[in-house]
Amino acid sequence: MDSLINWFDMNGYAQWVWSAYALWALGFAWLVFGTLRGRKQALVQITNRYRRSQMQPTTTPKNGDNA
Amino acid sequence: MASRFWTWLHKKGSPPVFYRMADRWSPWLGVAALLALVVGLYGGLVLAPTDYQQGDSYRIIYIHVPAAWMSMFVYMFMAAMAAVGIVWRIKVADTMALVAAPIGAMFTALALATGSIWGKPTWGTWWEWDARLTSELILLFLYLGYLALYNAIDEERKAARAAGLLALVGVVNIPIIHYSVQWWHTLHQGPIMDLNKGFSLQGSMVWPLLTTMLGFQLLFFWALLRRSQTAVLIKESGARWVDELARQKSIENN
Repeated sequence: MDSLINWFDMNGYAQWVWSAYALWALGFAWLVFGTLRGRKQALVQITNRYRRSQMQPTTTPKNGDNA
Repeated sequence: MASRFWTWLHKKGSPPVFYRMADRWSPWLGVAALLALVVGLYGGLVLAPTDYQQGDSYRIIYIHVPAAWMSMFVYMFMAAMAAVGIVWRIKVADTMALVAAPIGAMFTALALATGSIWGKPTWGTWWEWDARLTSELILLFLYLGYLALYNAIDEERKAARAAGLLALVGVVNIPIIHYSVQWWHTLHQGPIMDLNKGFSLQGSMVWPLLTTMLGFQLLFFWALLRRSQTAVLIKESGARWVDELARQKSIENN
């Protein structure tokens, strides 16, 4: 059990270790959540585009409407 | 032989083939990365003994060394993809190089920041303009320069080519970073692993380090594949295979 560290003191080095790990957690959170969010947005974008392309016009334009 | 390689490369580099391949591999990579990180960090923060000289501050090694290793690995990967894009004009390779750059920049920033935090209790200073630290900082600027150049040019093909050339020139910095602690007298410690002498760390400290390194590597490939898929979807928007995928997603969502 002599290898078990004191998590809150760490021989007086706790603030250095935890601040480094906090930065690591921030970096990895950006990596993971940014990746998942980007993917979700892209899938929503292509699905919406597809749905729009599948929509039929509800009215037929009359002659001269586009003039 | 050469023509077979050419055909294989172009087939694998075709956006729909790449997308499906990435879809198959990503979940496995994600799970393996999570597993390796949990096991490695548990080993490093709980099981590994306290260092007789540095106390527990040395435990920063379990994120600092993998981040520093990945900063160089991702750069080499990015440069290789840029070269493939320039030589064989494979769009997916350009996309992968572009996608790898911010991830590599994040690893480099993390290596610099965690190294700085480790330096304060160990060396008594946050920063020293020694060869290892300075060359690593240059690496961060190379990543940022690559991204800035890519985004400054409107035409996709020209942007990939110009930024790719910058990435290739920057490769010269990688051996400088790696050998800086041997070529110059630096404050930074020497290499942890020597091919002739083995590891300079005790075995119970080494395995968590190797496991977290594996975790970082797997997470990079997971993020790379997922982000490349996203980029390919946006670039290929309107292509028949993207419409087919959208149709399937549309049915799934209803």
